[in-house]
Amino acid sequence: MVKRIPAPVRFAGVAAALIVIFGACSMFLLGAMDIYQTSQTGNLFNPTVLLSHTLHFLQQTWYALTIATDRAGVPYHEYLLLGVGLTIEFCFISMPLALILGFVLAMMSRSRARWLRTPARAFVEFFRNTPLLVQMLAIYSALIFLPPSLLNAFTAGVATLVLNYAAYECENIRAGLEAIDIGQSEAAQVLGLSQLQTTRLIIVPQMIPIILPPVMNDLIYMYKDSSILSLITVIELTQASQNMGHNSPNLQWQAYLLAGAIYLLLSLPLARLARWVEGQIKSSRLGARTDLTSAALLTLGVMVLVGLFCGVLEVGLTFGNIVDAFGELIAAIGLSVAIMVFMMALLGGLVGIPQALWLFIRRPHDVDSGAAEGQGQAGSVAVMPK
Amino acid sequence: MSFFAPIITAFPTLMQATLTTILSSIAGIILAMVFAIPAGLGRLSRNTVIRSVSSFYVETIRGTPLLLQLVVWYYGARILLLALFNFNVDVAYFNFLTALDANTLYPAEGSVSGIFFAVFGLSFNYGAYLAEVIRAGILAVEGGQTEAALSLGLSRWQTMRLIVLPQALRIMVPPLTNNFITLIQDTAFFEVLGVYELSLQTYTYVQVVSSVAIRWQYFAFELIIYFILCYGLALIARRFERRNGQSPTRRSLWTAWMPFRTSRLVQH
Repeated sequence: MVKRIPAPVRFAGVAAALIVIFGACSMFLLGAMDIYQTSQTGNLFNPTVLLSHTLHFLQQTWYALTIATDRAGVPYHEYLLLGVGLTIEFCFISMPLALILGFVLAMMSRSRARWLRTPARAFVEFFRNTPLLVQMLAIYSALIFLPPSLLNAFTAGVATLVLNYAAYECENIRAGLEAIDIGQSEAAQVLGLSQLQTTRLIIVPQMIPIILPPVMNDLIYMYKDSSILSLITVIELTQASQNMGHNSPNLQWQAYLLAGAIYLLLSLPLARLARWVEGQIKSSRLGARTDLTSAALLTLGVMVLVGLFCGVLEVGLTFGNIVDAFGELIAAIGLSVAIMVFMMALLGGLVGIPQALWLFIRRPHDVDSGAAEGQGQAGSVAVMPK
Repeated sequence: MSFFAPIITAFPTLMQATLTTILSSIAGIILAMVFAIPAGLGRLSRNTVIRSVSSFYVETIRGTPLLLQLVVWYYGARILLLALFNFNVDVAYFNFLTALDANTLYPAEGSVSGIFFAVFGLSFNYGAYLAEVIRAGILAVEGGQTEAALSLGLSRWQTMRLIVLPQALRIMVPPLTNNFITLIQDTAFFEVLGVYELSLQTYTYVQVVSSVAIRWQYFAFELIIYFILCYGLALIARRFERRNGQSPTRRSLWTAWMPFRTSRLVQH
């Protein structure tokens, strides 16, 4: 029997091993980058050389974060701040809109009416199965007949994020709605609540704890997906760091490192927050006392306002800028809804008309199996039996 | 027919670009699983060092955007390899082709290093996501199963191979497929590194045309191809799930992933 090593010694050993592994890897990486940046030569396996290069790299990082400026005298931390502001603006404006449109889509795809269900399903499947990047390029560069007040980088970016994420949120919300027992809504209707009251008071409060983790996850994804907006001339965090690298190439690595750190700082606390809120709701400390529907709507509204505020701070806090921001927000909402309605009509027509014809042809033979088989809409009988 | 003339002219090139997309996503999926399996198992390891190294990998990669990672791999790792080891991927590939006397295979446009670092960066990114899927799938198998297997005298590796993994694989299939679908979609990011796959090829056609109708032709074609690729994979996965749900018979782990019936190939 081997004698067990005491716990403090084991802990110290593990800590030392971790420090050695992470420290050595990061020192080697940073030293190599510094050697490349400074065009010097040196053997990195020599500890003194390695330490001096690593320290120089860290010093350069601190310099980039504090006093380094571009040729026009704009400090680089302002680049990064403006980039973070735009990232937060796009995410906080797009996510509430995506949730609301996703809720509408989920209600439509759970509807018994085929003319509502087919377009919603077609829209969701189409937007989930095509790349976000291509959708963005298509919206931005193939809708050029629209006036620039309706189609600019801001509205196109928001519309892309909203439409794509609405499809994903629709699936989340549908899963949440399906997880709720059907007896809940039946009982509510027996008690005399209307359809709207049932949704608002019974269904949605039970749905929110279920969909909260995937929705928060999607918000974190959206932070990262908003980096593609750099391709349509939005200077968000990724583009800001690239600009920084272009303006002073000897700080390129520091720029990428800082941008990555900021993305991590944005997403990690949000994950913790999501876990905390989820625990609060599950332990019914929050759920029992508060009206979750109103709380959720309020949260979404506050998110949009925070996003707008970030956008206004970018250009300066004046009355005119606030009015402009609201105008752009309304244009973005209009563009998103217009594209969504158009795509639903188009795709719903493409899928729904052949489907309806097929069902019409098959109706006299066997109604039930035809409806059950009809394009994979399992179990939902849409064709009225005679 | 003259209305569709642009897309008919571009059809062969676009199909070639589609082939690039398909091949790079297949390579990406395989390489991502190569990264994911050690990382996923490493996060469940009892060894603190292995666990924290794989946690560091997963959390860092999941916390930063793919676009930034690709840019770092391409503009960073390529130049670092050049500066430190004097290793140039383009030159190495060219020399390799020269050794085979096949220099005509060298791509006329784009660069080899672009697609190399793009596939590598994409797989490195998705390795982290898939590691989480694998970890969640293994954790979702009930603990009693492992305890029962261990008390029956199976070794840890036997327990993993015969008891836990066959059940975990069934749980993992839907999220894995979702990740594969997003991986196929994310090959569109390769256009940032100048890889002529479907989206960049289409965009080069789009950029020289000002007519909205023709632009829409190109985009519709591209979107339809992506839709076919991704939705096809989704349908295969759905069929696989349904069949697995219907017949909970014992199936070999090594044939379970095949999208067709294997009873004729393998006698259980």
